[in-house]
Amino acid sequence: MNFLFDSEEVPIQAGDTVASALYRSGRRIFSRSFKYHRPRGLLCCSGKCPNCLVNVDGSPSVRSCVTPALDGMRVRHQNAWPSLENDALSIGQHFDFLMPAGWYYKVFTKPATWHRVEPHIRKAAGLGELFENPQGIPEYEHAWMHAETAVIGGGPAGIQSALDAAERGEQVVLIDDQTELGGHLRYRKQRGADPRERIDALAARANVTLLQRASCFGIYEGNLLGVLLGHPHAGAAERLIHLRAQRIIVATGAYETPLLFDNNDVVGVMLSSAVQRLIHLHSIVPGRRAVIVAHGSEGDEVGADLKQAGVEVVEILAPSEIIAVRGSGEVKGVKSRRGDFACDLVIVCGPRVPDAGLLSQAGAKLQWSDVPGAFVPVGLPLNVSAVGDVTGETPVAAAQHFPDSKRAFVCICVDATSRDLKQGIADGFEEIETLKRYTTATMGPCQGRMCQLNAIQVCSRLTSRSMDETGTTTSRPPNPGVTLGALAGAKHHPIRRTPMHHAHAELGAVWLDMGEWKRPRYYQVAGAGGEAESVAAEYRAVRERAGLIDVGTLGKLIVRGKDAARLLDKVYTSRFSDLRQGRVRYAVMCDDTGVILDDGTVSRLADDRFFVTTTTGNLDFVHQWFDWWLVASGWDVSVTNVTGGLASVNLAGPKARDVLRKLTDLDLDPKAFPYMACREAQTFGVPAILMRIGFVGETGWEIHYPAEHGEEVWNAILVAGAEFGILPFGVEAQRLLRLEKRHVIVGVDTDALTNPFEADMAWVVKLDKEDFIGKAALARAASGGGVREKLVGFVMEGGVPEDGAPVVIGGIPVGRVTSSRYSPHRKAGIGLAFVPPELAAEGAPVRVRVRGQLRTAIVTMQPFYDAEGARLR
Amino acid sequence: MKRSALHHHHQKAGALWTQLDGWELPASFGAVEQEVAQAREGVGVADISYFRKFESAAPQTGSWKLASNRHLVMRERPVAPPDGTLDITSVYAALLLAGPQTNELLRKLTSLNLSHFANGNCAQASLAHAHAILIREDLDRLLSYKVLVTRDYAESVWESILHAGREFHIAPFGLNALDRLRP
Repeated sequence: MNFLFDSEEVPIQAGDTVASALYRSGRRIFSRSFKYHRPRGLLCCSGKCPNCLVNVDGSPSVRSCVTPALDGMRVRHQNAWPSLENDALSIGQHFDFLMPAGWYYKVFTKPATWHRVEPHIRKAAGLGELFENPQGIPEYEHAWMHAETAVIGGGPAGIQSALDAAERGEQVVLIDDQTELGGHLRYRKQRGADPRERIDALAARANVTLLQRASCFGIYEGNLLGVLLGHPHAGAAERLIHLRAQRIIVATGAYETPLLFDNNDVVGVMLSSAVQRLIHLHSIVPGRRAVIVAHGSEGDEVGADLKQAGVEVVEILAPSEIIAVRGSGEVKGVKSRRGDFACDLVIVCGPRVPDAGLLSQAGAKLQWSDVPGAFVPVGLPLNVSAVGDVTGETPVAAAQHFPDSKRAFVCICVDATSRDLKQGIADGFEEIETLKRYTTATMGPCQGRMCQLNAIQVCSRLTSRSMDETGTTTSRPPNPGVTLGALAGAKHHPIRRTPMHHAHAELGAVWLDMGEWKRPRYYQVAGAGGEAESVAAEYRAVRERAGLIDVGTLGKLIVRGKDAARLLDKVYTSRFSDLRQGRVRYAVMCDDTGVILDDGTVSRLADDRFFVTTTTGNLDFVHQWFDWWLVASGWDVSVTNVTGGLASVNLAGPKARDVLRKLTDLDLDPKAFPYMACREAQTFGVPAILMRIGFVGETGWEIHYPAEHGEEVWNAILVAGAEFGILPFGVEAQRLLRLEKRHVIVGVDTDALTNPFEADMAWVVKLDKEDFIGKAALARAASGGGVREKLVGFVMEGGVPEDGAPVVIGGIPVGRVTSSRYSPHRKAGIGLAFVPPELAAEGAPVRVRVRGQLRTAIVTMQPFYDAEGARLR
Repeated sequence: MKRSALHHHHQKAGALWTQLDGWELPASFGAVEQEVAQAREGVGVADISYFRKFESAAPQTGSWKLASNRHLVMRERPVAPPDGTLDITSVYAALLLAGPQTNELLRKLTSLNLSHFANGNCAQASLAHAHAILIREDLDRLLSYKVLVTRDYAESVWESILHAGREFHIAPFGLNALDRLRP
């Protein structure tokens, strides 16, 4: 088993991470630093530092030290050119005096300069890049879980808490980000008994779920945990789990952080816990000669481990004794107050910081405590508790040494040194939160884990304030970072399809997305040109012969009960109590201020049964609006949404009657079935509601029938219409046809402030009704109050303005075009536009800006096509 | 012939058709034994959109309460609509999920808490981005849910279920397998 690192094959042993396999193969430089491109090697070996970021199978900035090595992986270095060993941009560190803290605020003070240099800075300082992965884009998924107790952290404290909760009979989820449970006991053998037995006891319990190789990246409102699980199964790279827990126990432990001295970032300087991991988890001999930097006897533990692994321990130095590490690429030795020592490893026993980020996200405060010498969480919210090292129960050796140096790196993510922090404070940013933003210390990929304590201590000393006065920076989710693909989840964009979807596809439908719905925009007939030709052919079919359109996305409601008419009278501006059975009426709905909310049709199927249609996008709103006004009414009405259950088509055109006659026994004579009438009848043997309405301006029927017969009846109509030259038509032809009739589309030709008087629909408002929603405001509008503008039609010779084009008077926009098209009937541009009320007069000229040029359009208050409506009837 | 919203999916999956009460339905997808075994041991899914559904304001015998004034009645075979109900058979596509891994599958599609969702329970939740009615009715001792989504979402939800279920080797099953799974 092996994987490819750049072009070199790296063998894998059982239990290897990408980093451990690389280290065993002799690799020491893993990355280049962000700003100065200094070589960087393994530092923490636990996924907490930024040093081992690589590109794995196309995903950039992957932490190689916690990523299991898999056979056939393709791993690449990042942020170095041409190679990790020789990076041309490392020359930058010799010009560090040109780039002090906040240098681009000081240098690039003119926008023009900044825009010129920004791309180059991004290229030099960016972390990782995307490249095509030959295996394709990995798949991600989401899942939801619920637990009574969620324990975060699988170390000794977490294991014990999970066991206790499990024994109380609770449903427990334990989250751990390592390959195996056990926490620090896995590699700090002298710290406690092997937890194997307790781990086995935990795994054996039916009420415990173990999420391993899973990191909890955030605590959100309502005890919601964000958990990222690696490789949940062969088909997915990562799974994002939304875990809702009644109780949360945080057992995230403490992690080791670096010490400050010159060249503390050189390859070969490693935290003691990192080297213990290499030795005990991966059986790696980390080097030949080591110098340990530690307080008092703290170095003894790692010293013993190193000796056992066969590494010579040259010297143990106190933090105050070390002056600098020698070596530019890799460690060559140490310069100290006790002399110089040659070595290839410098092992740092740094302060262990309680990993309390999740607790502070949950609402806890972090308070400095001299014993143990750490910020510890206090004031935990209800149902969140902390156990183990995260509480600060293990003392941390304090008394650090803080040299003022431009080679003592506080933040290794962005190369911010102790000198940079000093400079930032001198520039006036002495608050830790502003110092963070100015120097970007703690803002790198490690999200402050490695540098927060050092940054606060440096700031505290330089400003002569206590640690508590200095305070901490803020931990925000996600921490650690989350792959964007995982947040996006599975590629399941919900799609709503009408019952004739597949028939449209076969007819060559080119789709238009309307919310989640798919509608045919037009039908692309092979060899028939593009959209313009298709739409023109569909238009002609409707005007001259017959056309058929799927209107299944219309909202459809059945309103039943003896008070049904009462409800409709209340929510719509027109009157429906006097609507006779078998008749249809146009319906407009307004809010209390008279603004148009929706329009549609109301058909009376029986005394106590109405069929209501709404616009495609407003169905759910209208349904809720009905329910809202019913709640306290005590009326006998029930409203049922039947949208998905009905296939709906509009058959229109001069030959529509001839087509329909072949499919139904119903008397279609205009006297027996007049305009604005509705019938329930068998159509092609299927029960249907037929309504004679005319959105497109021709004789036509809207037909609603059970969805399970959707394609069957659709196809039957097309077959029946073939002899008359019927064509299916799409949304684009429909919009043109309705515009010629000057029919308004709510939401397109009206906006969030339009009332019916402004939309030139005064006739739908029945102010003599006892009461309806919006009556008071509409009564005011009827007498001219609050009419800001009016919707008018216009005809423009020799051009078509774009939708949204401004209407202009004296150089000032005073209105706008809402819809416009070229009208084949008028052989001119036509459209609808909002204009000031005084311009809403037949024949008035208005100026419209068309592609930068002002052109004259003539206002009309009449339909552009068949003004008398003879063709409809 | 009545066709479910998933007709084209079934056709592509190699359905062998049968007819029942005017509906064209998949009798099987060519391997009844495997379909039964997959549902018994892992998770399987069937299209039961042909089940009759009725809605009423008042509770009915054996109805599921969706809201104080909305109750759902489901009947497998044709019956006259009970008094005061509206036939909404066409409005909803209905799926039947069955198998011990059904909960694991559903956890990838809905945030509904399934750990306290007992046999005989009914709930409404977002499932694969669509509003869904879930009814747990085990087949003897085999974990099973009926899932109702409006017909326009059916293909989208079906695709999401099959995709999420790949790790469990989910397979659709037909009426023949359903008959075998029933107590």
